[in-house]
Amino acid sequence: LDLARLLLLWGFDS
Amino acid sequence: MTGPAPVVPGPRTGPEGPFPFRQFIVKMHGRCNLACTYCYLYEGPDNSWRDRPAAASAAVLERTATRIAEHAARHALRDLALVLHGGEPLLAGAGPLAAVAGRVRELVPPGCQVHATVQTNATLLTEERLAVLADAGVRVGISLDGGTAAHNRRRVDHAGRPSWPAAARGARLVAERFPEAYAGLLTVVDPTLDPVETYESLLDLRPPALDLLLPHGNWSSPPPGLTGLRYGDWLCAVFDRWWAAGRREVRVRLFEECVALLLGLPAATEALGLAPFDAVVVETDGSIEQVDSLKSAYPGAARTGLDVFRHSFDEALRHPGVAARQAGTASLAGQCRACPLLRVCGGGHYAHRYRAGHGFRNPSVYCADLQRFIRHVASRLTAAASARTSDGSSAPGSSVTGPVSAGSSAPGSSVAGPASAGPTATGPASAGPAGSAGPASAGSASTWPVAAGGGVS
Repeated sequence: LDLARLLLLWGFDS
Repeated sequence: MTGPAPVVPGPRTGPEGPFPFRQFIVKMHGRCNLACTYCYLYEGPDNSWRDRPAAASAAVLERTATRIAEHAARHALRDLALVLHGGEPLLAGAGPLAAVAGRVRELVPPGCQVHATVQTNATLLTEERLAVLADAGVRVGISLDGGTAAHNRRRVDHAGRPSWPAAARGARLVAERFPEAYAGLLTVVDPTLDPVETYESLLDLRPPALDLLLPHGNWSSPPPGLTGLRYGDWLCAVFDRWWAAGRREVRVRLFEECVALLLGLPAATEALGLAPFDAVVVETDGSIEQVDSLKSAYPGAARTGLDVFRHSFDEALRHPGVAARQAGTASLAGQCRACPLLRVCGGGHYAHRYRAGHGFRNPSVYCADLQRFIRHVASRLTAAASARTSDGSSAPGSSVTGPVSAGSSAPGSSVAGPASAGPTATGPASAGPAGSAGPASAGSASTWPVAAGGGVS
């Protein structure tokens, strides 16, 4: 998908 | 008083790893004023908390701050997360929490930003304590299972009394008086509750962010009520309510990271994806451990044998358990590596893969629920991408190819969930393509052989 036409790092799930 | 840590060369931190820790969970207090019936820490198989000091000593906290700064310097970290945790961290008092955040900020090299949060059950929050935390730049995350007393019936104190009145008071105090310090709400999914009603009740607490956590369980100790696709259906119902709201009412981490992964963007969650895990815990006695969720698997699962007095965090990076969580697909079960959802699901939460005698090299115990949820989000994204732009034109480059058997209307897995009569799936994006009977639908399950030898600790 064209994101412009179509909407984006701690990973501990605090 | 020592100054910022000197920058010295460290081990390689390139794309092949090891990846430095960037999230430091400091156990400020090892006890809790609540006795939630489902707590994996105090009701689970690991009782190591009983042998540790109730609160972290000044010596432990000073050494921890020094080790964090050392790690930040060695790896030239520009940002790190300091998570003040427990137990209930506010049992240590707001002053010590603020002091630890301040000390870490003092010691890290210039240019390294420390993002400090405290994760609390909210029952001990007062205006004075919140002022101390806010002044110290410590944001407040709250653990609640919904926005009513009924939703929080499992969150009780040691005498069995409901925690909700005090927790609600604390949560509202943050929202009304210290919104800039409000980090968000963590909610453990209870599939017996109405999903939409639960979500909407959480909105009443005005969180800037929300995450929905699947209760910890594994193949040997399955989560409660793991029948059919109850958890997947529950998440889908909330997703549709959130997606079709007409505006983004709240950030929902699980949903937004799933969208990110589906679109090939970087994501930040333990629940999904293949990103290397970079969190480490310091217990109240100074022990360096892996995250608490592993304690739901078996006693000692989080242990590394290291401590902040004798070991650096770089030494913890070399622990096989840590390495396994930074190994991407290499630590996954064969079924996961062959799965078309691999790059989005990533095998699910590490703790949920455990099976006694076989370690963690298994699919998630929530495999079917995750598949249900991910395919559902994919179907909603596909439908949205096929819609028109806000100026009324069709969107070139927005067509989607490939199978769209998203399972979003699989028999036996209604989007509204078993208890819901709420306004689910009413928006323009909810009229997704009619799915075939999804691959996770009843009657299509198969039994996989169990991969042996996947233990990592």
